[in-house]
Amino acid sequence: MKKALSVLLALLMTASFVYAVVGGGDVQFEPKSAGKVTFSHDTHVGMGKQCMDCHDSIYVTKTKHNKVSMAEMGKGQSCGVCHNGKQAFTVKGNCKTCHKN
Amino acid sequence: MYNGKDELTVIQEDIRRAIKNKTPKWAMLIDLRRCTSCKACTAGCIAEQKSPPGIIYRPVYDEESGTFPKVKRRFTPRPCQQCDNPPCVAVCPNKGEGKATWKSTKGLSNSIVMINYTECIGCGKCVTACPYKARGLDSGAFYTDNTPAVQEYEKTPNLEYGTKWPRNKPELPIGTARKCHFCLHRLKQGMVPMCVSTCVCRANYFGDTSDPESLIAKVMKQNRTRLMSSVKGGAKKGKSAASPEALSARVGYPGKLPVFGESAPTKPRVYYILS
Repeated sequence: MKKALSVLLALLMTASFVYAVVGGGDVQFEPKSAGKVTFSHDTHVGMGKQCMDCHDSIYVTKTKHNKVSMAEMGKGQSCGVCHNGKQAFTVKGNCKTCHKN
Repeated sequence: MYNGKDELTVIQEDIRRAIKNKTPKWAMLIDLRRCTSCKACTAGCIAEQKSPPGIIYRPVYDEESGTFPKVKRRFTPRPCQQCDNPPCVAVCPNKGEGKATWKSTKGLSNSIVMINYTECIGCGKCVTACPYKARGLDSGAFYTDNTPAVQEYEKTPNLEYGTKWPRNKPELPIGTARKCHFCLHRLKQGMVPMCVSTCVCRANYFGDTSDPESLIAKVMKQNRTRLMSSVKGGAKKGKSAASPEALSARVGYPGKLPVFGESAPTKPRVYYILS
């Protein structure tokens, strides 16, 4: 009985940890021709970014921006607003920084 | 007192009858002749919603008019007006039922302007759009910040919209828009909104205006009511809005001077008796 309770407690603790997210949590992008990209709110907010730095001038929600293209980013839009090699690492070049298998 | 009963008892009976109705039309009536600006409503609200520094759902404005010795003071509590035509919802880039914010037309939340913290993106457009300065962004601050320890009572969950929201940085609702919701979580349990229950002067009436037997409907029929058209004052020009605090400063949240009229384009659901 005690064992069952402790397992339940551990599960509950894990569940509460999983739901502990910043804003929209992790946002997954699955492009057809490249590896998956995970955008982490934790990482970005953790750097001291404010919600208003991106919302809603650069990005609204995934349902409203389900297509994000590299061409856009290269022109300084979408992720490219900051990821331009000046404010943050550039989107050109090392694909594996963002695209994971 | 109303018919030998405390108004609060009558209001609670009205609410318990209203929640049996599937879509009650909630409204609040505030009798400014009775308000003494004791701010028990503000304190009760902060305790109930665990609102952090910089967020105040129900301020009480204090105005003085005339010249000595003919001076008058007026005290105006200002909850969210739960507009039938809400400008805050109109500007939301993620609006819609179940999305970031919407005007509810269903169930017990009928007539309340709702916020879904999990969908709000914290852009702050609603904060600027609200003519009553009733919305603010939660900056994530604690009253006991910069003390040896952030106290546990500040981290206890609030129960807004019937969900537990523990306050642990940087979890929700930190970063999102926050405002009064007529204590929907209390209404669902047949309880009186916190500000109404703490009002020592019994200046508040609350209930379903579609029920002619409710106290609020009766008092509204017997008195001339006005609507708030906007709230002025407090805004600091030229401030950038790069953070929740800076946005509040630019907007002048939570405002200073209420403006009343016979009607308002926003169609508020909070009515006032001025004199």
